[in-house]
Amino acid sequence: MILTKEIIEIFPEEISLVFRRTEPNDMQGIQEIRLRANKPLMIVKNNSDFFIGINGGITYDCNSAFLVNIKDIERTIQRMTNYSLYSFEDEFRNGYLTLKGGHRVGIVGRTVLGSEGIKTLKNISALNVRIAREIKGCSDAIVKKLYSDGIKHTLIISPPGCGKTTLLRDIIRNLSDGNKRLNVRGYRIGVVDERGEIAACHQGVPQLDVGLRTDVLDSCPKTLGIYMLLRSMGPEIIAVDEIGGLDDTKAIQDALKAGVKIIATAHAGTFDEIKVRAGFKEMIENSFFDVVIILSNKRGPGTIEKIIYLT
Amino acid sequence: MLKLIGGLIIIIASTITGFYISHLLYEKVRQLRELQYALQILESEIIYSAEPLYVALSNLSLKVNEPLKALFIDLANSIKDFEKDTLHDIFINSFDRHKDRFLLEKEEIEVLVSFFSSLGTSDLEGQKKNFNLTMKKLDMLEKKADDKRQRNDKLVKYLGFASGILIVVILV
Repeated sequence: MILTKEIIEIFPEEISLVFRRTEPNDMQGIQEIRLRANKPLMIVKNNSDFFIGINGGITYDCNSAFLVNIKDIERTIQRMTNYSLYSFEDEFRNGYLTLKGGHRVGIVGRTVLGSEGIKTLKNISALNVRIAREIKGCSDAIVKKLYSDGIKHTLIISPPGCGKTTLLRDIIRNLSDGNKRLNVRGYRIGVVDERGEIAACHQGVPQLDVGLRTDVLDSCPKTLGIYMLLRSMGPEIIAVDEIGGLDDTKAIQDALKAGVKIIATAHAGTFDEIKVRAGFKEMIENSFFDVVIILSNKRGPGTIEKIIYLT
Repeated sequence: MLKLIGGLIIIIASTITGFYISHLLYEKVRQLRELQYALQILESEIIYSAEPLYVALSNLSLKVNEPLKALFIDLANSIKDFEKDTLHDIFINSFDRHKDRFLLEKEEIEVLVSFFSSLGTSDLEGQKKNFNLTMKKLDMLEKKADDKRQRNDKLVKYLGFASGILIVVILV
């Protein structure tokens, strides 16, 4: 991943200048850009962090690094929101917003509480721009192996940062487009993208490729979204990210009764861990899922550790 | 004969000047009124449909007359192109390019500048206050301009004609 124009554009002049002065090669593999008030400008690439120097370039010395001040952060927010802070109220309440291109910006600051929980964030003090990663083709092998003889209810589990969502997105893309080479036809897919990480919608339009036959319900709670999709869009497959909780279990159960296939992800280290978690326990005991894919970080994110067939 | 024609030309010219000045007084009131109308549309675009500013401004530009139309189109494009870091700077830059076509004075421009600088930085609730405040200020300024026009309209026209006569009398 390298820095593209659409990412540099969201930063105020001073910061975009130091990025432009940095060799594009130095930015290879960038994952995050972090701005904290009165702290050095930091990037994360290949899982370790570096400072950006006053005159561009990467440095390990925090004294020669570009210092971010509160004004830089305010200006970044103005640019990021297209100078229309008011149209991003929900995003601020949730603590993140999605940029064009699917990049995610996490926001922290002082929270203002209202009667229904967090009302908004004020005095923003730090931003974390996470560069969207789209690895097309990372699911080819799995799709061919698992789905060439029909879709199965699938659960993908791994610890954070092992590529669950990336894999899910690519599975969705493959199944939605259909692929003769992998011996799958195109399916109608409904995606409930509660945290906006699968399709990364910007103003409702998916920024990442989720396929031709995919309908995305953006930032909708999973339980509500599954019912909405069932009633309105007639999906053959419903894909959701990060299920947990008993509510999710019930909604998925109902979807199963409606004859829809489910592909979901969940946080967990191992299969044994998930077997005992409330919600999952019932799902696994009753063989809700046909197949469980376990990912790890062993040979880089997205390593397929194990595939367990439950039926 | 020549004198007569010359004198007539002077009188006509000064009368036209008088009428022109009176037209400018009226045009200023019209601009202020249109500005208020525009803000009302912008308010509904922003508060009720939460459209991003550049979308709201380009929608708005379809509904107003020149020179506001040109200003809003320019503003919408500058916002889309991330011309400056803050909306305040973008507005000042944009307005600078069109200021010759506006008859607004310093006081009125300041109202607009402060309106646009808080437009970029506050949430919906803040926007409501911002709109209310700006509307009130513009209303006041419009009344003032209209007052001035009513008081001076006839005077300016007479003065144009009379000064023409005066010049002719002095020259003859």
